[in-house]
Amino acid sequence: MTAKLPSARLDALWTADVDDFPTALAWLPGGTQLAVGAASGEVSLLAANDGARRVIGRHENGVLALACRSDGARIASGGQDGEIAEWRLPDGEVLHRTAAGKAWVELLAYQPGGKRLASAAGKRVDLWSEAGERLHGFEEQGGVVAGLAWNGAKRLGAAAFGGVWLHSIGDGEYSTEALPWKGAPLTLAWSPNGKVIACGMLDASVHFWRRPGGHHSQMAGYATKVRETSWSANSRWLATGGGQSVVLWDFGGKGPEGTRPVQLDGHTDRITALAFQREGGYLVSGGKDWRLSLWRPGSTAQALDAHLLGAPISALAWSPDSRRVAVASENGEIALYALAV
Amino acid sequence: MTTPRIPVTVLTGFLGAGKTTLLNRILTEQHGKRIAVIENEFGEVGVDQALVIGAEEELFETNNGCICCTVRGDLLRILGQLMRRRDKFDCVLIETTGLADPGPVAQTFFLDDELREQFVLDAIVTLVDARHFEGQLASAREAAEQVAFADVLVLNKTDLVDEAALARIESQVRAINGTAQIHRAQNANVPIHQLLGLGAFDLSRALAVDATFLEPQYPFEWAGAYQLSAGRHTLRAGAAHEDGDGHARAHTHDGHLHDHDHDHDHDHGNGNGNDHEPDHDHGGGLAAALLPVAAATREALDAAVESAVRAFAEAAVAVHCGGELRPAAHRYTLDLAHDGAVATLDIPADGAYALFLEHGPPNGLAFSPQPVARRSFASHSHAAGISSIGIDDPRPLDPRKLNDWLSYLLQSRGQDIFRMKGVLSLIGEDRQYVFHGVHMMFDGRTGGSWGAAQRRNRLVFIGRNLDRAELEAGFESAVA
Repeated sequence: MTAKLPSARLDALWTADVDDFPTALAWLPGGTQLAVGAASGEVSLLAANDGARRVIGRHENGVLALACRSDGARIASGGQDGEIAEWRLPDGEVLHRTAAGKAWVELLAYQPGGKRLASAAGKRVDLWSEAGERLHGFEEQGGVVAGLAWNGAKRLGAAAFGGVWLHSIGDGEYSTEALPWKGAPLTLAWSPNGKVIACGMLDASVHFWRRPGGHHSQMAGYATKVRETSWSANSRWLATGGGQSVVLWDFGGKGPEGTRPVQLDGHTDRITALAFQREGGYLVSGGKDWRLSLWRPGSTAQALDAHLLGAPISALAWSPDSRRVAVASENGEIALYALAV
Repeated sequence: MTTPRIPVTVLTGFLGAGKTTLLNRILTEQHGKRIAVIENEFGEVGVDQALVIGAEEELFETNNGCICCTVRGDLLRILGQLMRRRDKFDCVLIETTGLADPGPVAQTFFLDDELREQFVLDAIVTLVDARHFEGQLASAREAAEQVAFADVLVLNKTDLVDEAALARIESQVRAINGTAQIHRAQNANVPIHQLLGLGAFDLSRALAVDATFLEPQYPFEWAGAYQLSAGRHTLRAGAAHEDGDGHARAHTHDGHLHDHDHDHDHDHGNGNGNDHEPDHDHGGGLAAALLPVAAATREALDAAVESAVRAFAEAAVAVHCGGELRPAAHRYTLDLAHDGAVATLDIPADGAYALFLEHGPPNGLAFSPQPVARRSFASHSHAAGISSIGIDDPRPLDPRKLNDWLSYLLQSRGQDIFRMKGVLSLIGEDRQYVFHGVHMMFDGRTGGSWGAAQRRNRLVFIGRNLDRAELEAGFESAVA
């Protein structure tokens, strides 16, 4: 009866400390360093081999966002000081700092394969050149932007109260398509194949739109607001939090409309972070219960491995090669685990 | 949670009420607290003992448009970040814009699991500009709502109006909100300990403030006891001499309410009160009763209340401008709606008399001599239909029935119930059950032990178009 379970585990490599609540976590493309932003305002780089930490700069009152350019030459940071900073790699020298406006800079995303940087601050989405000049400002959003994601180098999605705004970026030409929905999105997760835009919502639901066209659906029934959304690399699974269970929606067949989601149980408090591998089908989840769990959606609903960390988990990030996962905890601890399959 | 929750104070009030003055004082005064202030305009400054964060109000309405589920998105974001700071704050102060509805602010702390774990709504403080309050109450729905939501009401700029106006405003405030603590202030000079860290949502204290709202509602708001000599005394509208300092103030600040189209013909039918408007326009006649009492004392006034209720139930006798009223066991409607209108009290013998008025204290009504004793009553009619209703009953309640009643009540009337508080005696429970709510949001828990205290239920509802009979019937259904 019992199918052979995949055996996989996470082996602890090292832990480092950033001295404050880690608010942003990102791998550098080469996989040799990690960038971490903290509530203290510090932006630091951690060596992937031993966790050695170097502070490269700060944002007054706290870092809110980090992004790494795909060529590995820069990272960008944004924070409560309303500034966007770009840092040169690998040395971490500041290239420039730009005041984005009055509001906090809450989200940053580099154009995939390109050199432009998108930022969200308040209701604005801005597109910046390599030199730190504003190329274009998208002011169509109805509310403060809570989710920002690229799909390819020419499409940028922004989620805010009232729906999702899809910006098309051509050669100096910009246009916007609105996908209205009266609700408050907290995330924007665009499926890797570009066909589905999913938003975790404040009203304990997940809303998604199919592309092209605007067909949209709502999946409700969550215990609490949904702030954790992650797509599998093959665009089949959307993993969501919003409670103690990982809820998986299967986009493989005709669903997920009218289907029951797969539920992964093992956490004893709210899920706080979810991350599918960039390549492959493993999923990690972190919770307020200090637990890190490893899953293989589609194979089994049992956790393959679990570790108890030192505090509630605040962020998870797979390395570019998807063989290591970085775990940030609220007490400032950054831990690195290797996936052993 | 092992760490205590951080108290949050919400500061509301119209533009010009003195919120900025108060904030600046809180930020500069040495009070030893580390405060995070969320202001309604942009600008993030670190002051020695405080962090000031600017925010733009963003309302997250739900798809069904229910006001009770609307929260403040900006607060979710900002407080979400504040929670992450290692240097925790002793308290958070949220300033709202002048016309802001305090409901969504309060609801944000009920609806969001994370915020509820880390923060506790401590008190809603409403600042009122004594000079402009009456006009605002008449013209803007938000004024009455902000008063209704308040745990603490700061009556500011008291130096700019006379005592009669202050007493009148306090009476209007009481009619709307029976439980708020009222502080008088000039330049917003309220001691900070009266604003922050109050635990106003901690009910035992909140309910102890003033019990007038627990009284039955009377058809009159004000009564005064007078020592009068036999003969004729004049009641005059439009000028108050009570302060006796010679500067008889024309009540121009609310004069526009009273100068509708009243010429001196007075041919309007003397309404029996059902056509009076909530803005205290007495165009339909001001109901009054004049009764002889044993003495010009508070005790004698109290003793006369029942007679006055009966008198108010009688058919009204109209007293036109210049007309007379004598001590009698019936109701008068006085035409005192315009400046200079007069009525005469025809007093048969030296003695003590009580004057009961539908609205009070006398709105622009001058009368000599002064009342020796006076009393305000929970009112029957209020600004924008907003009032407080209290229930005080010793019979223990059945938790399941209570839950049924409150669930039904909040679902059916949640939009109209701004605030709800109570300390309840549940059958089989040694401890007090304490609850409070904002619109449909409800939070209840067992509190301290009853100990030697007399077990009883005390509930207060503050809201629009509340129906005492309905609330009492609901309460009755929850009795064990």
